[in-house]
Amino acid sequence: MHHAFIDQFSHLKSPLHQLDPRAKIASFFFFVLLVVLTTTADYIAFGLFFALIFATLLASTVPLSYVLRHSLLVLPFALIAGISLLLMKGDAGLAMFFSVLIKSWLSVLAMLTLVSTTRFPALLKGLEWFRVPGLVLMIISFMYRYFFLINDEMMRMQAARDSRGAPSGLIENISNAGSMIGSLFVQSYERAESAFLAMCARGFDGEMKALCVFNPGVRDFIFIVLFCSCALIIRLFG
Amino acid sequence: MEKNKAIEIRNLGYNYPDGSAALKGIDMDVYEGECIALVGPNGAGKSTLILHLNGLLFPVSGFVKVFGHELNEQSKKEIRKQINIVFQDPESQLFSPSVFDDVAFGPINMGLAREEVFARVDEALSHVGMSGFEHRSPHHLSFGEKKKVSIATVLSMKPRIIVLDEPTLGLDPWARKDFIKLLEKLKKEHTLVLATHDLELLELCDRAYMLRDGRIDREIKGSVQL
Repeated sequence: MHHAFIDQFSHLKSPLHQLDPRAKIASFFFFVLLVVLTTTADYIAFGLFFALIFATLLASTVPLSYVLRHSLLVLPFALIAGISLLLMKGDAGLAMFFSVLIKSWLSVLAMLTLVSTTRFPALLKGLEWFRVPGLVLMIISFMYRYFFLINDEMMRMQAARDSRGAPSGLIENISNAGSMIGSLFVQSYERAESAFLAMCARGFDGEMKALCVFNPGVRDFIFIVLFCSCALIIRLFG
Repeated sequence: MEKNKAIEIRNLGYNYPDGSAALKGIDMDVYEGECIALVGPNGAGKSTLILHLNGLLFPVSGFVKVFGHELNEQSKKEIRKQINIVFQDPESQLFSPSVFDDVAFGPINMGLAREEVFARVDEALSHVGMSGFEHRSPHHLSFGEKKKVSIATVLSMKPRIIVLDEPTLGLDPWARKDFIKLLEKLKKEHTLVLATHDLELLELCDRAYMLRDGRIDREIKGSVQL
């Protein structure tokens, strides 16, 4: 049982994929910052931000349908966050509500573009260069490594449950799910213990050390200048 | 002339956290260049004994010496450069997001220079026939490939002794055959300790210790057969 990775298109060979991860991290985070700072109901600016991110996506050769499908996952969260705005009097509430939705969507599109064009280990090393705390990176790294393994274990348990004629009622399944989650927790805990032993055996002393291999070039500089200045122009004059 | 003692264990005892005895009075010698098997039924204490060999567990009685140096909190860092363990489950052995990071983990922790780390990763991966897999995620490898990369993670530290816990468990017959060839190659350059039930693998070993209920039941010399 294998699953697609969140960075499943990061192995492509487009010019965007070959950029230094730090250039992409800096540019896309700058983009998100500008999107967040855009005034409510500035729909022209939002439209231009969409055009910029879609142009970048087209250059990356990552399938648009994949990015769009995954970006929609943010909408339920944005809806919950923005729903109270609808209670405001007049049109202001509605405009703010749409702005929250659009800003969330644009931010997720930018992050998906970043993750889809950068291999995960390179992304972690880029974040390390930006002084993201080691403990946070270690947690992200283990989550990336073991999430799918735990998911596999859950799918195996579900298959075993179904093959023994699990009841179809919602209540019975909730109680089954409870015991499966408990079992998964114990398995994950044991997995963490054995991975920790393997780390100690190879000299782990509490601090995660990694080699950062960056090959910055002129193209990275050009990308940062082009992408960030486009975003800035949209923000200032959109 | 007698060979160097690579591992010397005397009267080793260990209790589980609940107080029950896991290992009782283990005496064992492994000489440099030997290939030793640890055999015994499930729960006999093989894996617990293995964890004592590079200071992941410490005995409540007796001692473990590696090349004449007693293993303790102070010496474990240096001794781990001499002896290393390949764990049974490659999913635990390979915890990094890429093969390169996993194989480089040990050398980086040893404080080696950047160029030396790259050279060691190249050498270790080529030794196990996995060159070109540096940027792959361990999750996307087959089980046999994961096992080979697990060995590379230890080879990159250039230990003199390699301990392998159930190295052929879970491999299909083709991958297993391939893997035994790799172990034959390793045997020429390292002292090996294998915890195994694999009869074909036992033929590789010079001697074996049979464990039962946390004790050495007997030592089997010559060609090992269960």
